[in-house]
Amino acid sequence: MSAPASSGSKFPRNMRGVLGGWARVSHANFERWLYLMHRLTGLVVGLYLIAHLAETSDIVPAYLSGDEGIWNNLMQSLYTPEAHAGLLIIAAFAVYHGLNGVRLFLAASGVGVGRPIRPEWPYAPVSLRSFQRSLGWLFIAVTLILTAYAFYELFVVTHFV
Amino acid sequence: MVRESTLMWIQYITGLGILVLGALHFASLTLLAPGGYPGALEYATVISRYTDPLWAAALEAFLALLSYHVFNGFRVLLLELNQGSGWTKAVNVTMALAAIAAFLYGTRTILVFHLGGAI
Repeated sequence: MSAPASSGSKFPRNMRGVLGGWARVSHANFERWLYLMHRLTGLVVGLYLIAHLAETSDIVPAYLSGDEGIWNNLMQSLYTPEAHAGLLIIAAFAVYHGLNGVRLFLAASGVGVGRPIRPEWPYAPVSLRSFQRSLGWLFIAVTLILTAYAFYELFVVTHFV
Repeated sequence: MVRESTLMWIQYITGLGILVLGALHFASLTLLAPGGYPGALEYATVISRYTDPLWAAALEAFLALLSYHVFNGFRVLLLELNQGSGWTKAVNVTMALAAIAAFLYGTRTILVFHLGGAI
């Protein structure tokens, strides 16, 4: 069976890697949800980095011209509940991505995935009954705690006091 | 050509570095800032961070690690969108150039305080 080839490529175009792959969660287990969230959070925080580099570069004209207003006006325009809600999402996503990254690094290093055993009924993979799964829940809990702290700094201190 | 496994190994190592420097970055905006988060964004505080060699070095290292990690991450996502050597090469080159551009642009912001406004 042949699939239509994409222009300029000697391989057939195959979108199943995305739509039927990492973004498909109809049969997802816990680790699979962590994986999907890892990709989404990485994408969002990565795009934010570009905006953040542009935003912080405003300090340069302020410093060179000695006009603090350039920086202060920008900060004032971003000192809103809407912008802080965006930063709260970035903080939560960054913490999640970092901690889940540690879990992935440990998994890739063979930490917490259990020892191989003879496949016997009920055939549940040892890796899904080991320390790795607890680590996933632990890191979600830590993410929620640190997100609550970010909420305190971004909303309680700035808008509610 | 660098092996994919080597690129992924660097992805893990940069990720661990980002975890440490990212924690420091968040702390510098909250716990370590005079006056907490509102005070962290004040002009004088921001200037004092950029002009301090240690803070500037930490920011520069953070930027270098992020430039690799973010754009290699984008590269992995983009490579899955299509197959073919042309696509692979285009994505690899574009993401490498984007990483270098982001690094240089961010470096300009940090270095301007140490070169007397030369850039």
